[in-house]
Amino acid sequence: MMRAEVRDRIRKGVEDDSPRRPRTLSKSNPALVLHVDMDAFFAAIEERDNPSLKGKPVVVGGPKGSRGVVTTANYVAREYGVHAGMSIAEVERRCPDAIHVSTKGGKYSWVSVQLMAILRRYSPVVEPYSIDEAFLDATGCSHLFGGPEAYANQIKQAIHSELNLTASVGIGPSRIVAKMASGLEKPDGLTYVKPEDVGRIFGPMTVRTIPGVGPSTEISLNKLNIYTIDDLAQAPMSMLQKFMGKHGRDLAETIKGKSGAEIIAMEERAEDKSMGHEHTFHVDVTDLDMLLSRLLYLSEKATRRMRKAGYVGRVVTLKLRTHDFRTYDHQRKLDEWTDDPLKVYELAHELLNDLWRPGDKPIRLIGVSVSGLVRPDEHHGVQHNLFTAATHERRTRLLHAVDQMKDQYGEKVLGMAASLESLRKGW
Amino acid sequence: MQYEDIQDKIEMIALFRDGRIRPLKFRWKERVYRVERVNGEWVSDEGQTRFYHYSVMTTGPDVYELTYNSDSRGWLLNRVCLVG
Repeated sequence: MMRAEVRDRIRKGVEDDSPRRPRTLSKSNPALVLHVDMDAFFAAIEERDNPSLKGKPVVVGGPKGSRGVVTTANYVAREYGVHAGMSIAEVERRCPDAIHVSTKGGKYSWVSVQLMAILRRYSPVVEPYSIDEAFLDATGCSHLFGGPEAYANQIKQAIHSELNLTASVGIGPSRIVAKMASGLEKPDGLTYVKPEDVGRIFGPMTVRTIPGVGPSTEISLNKLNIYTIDDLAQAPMSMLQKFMGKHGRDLAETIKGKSGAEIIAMEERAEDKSMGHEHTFHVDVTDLDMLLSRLLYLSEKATRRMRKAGYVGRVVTLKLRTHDFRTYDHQRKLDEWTDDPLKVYELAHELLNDLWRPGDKPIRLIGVSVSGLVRPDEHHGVQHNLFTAATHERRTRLLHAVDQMKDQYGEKVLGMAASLESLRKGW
Repeated sequence: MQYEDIQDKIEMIALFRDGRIRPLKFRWKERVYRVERVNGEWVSDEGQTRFYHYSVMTTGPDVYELTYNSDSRGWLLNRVCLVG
């Protein structure tokens, strides 16, 4: 079957199912969600690109001997107890023979773009959930490929043949069920959980295994004598509503497959809420100038992203992590919306003065982010009087020129001199 | 197994077809290497310059990372992973 023909058939299949949201569930046309989850994505790409790594414990993240953490560990390394987020020092204790590969974000992003392009050939409604995961609305599509399992198998085969990588796929009546299903048979798994099987398969599992249920929700559920997914499914809605509000009721409904099937296509997703960057120093820092230099660099990076995406923002948040792994953040509102790195930096500098003084605990990590993002217009711009308008105009032109230079020659071509200190020292 | 940064300019015979580039054979240090297998490929941008990266193997187990610079239209051997 030609690709265009397949796309056409998929489109027609989905059009028959309109309106897509809110979905009307019926026995004849129940919602069907696919969750595609790449297996140990970063490590798998490194193994693909260097086959001699196969069969050996591979850790993608900070280099050996560094203060970084694991981004992804392959399945061999996981047998030694290595997992994402673990410090490199701990990896060296648990798995001294692990091969450490530095994270190559650009490479993984590129493969992710290719992955999403493959998925969009199989459903017009694809919601990327992270760099290596996506939900597909398969309600109107799967029958075109011979049923849900055949459909999922074709997607898996396309990923394997075009990217030389494996994915695990979960199929279910809701996002949560599909996501839990994809984790059941990793790697390279395929699990189809029909609505009538949800209780049998997931019922005995603890509520903590439900994606999105963290420690505090678990405690709230436990207080209601709800420990397993079965308990949740059988709990009276009125009780969940009374003690946990909408969140409790939504959890129960989605686990029963009565809601939670809505997939939001990438082009329909909500706008970004914040943009920021953070940096872990190679050595704990006690020097204020070094912190300020890095803060300026991070402010430049954050506002550059905002300008590229066409946002101005108003709330600046500073994040600090001290050497003993205590994390602090502090935020404040600017007088006006901005995308100017100096304005963000000046406020972040004030926030730093509030949180930290030379002589305080050494700093391990520093980050800055801008939230309250909006598209600039007459309501979200800057009101200038006669005296500040000319300065603002010059500043805007300067930033525009800097952006043009960076667009043409790359991000490293220009930067504020004061931000170079921490980069030069390589901290 | 160890990686070695090389960053040498190389001569390349490649196939440009259907919007894709496939490296076929390259000359490095007066020796010609035939590309037997492309393990993976990815793209990165620096300003307006696009770089096409390839992880390839020749006749042995070593892995070569090659890059095509769309601006200079030149090829680079970035690094080699010596397995043998």
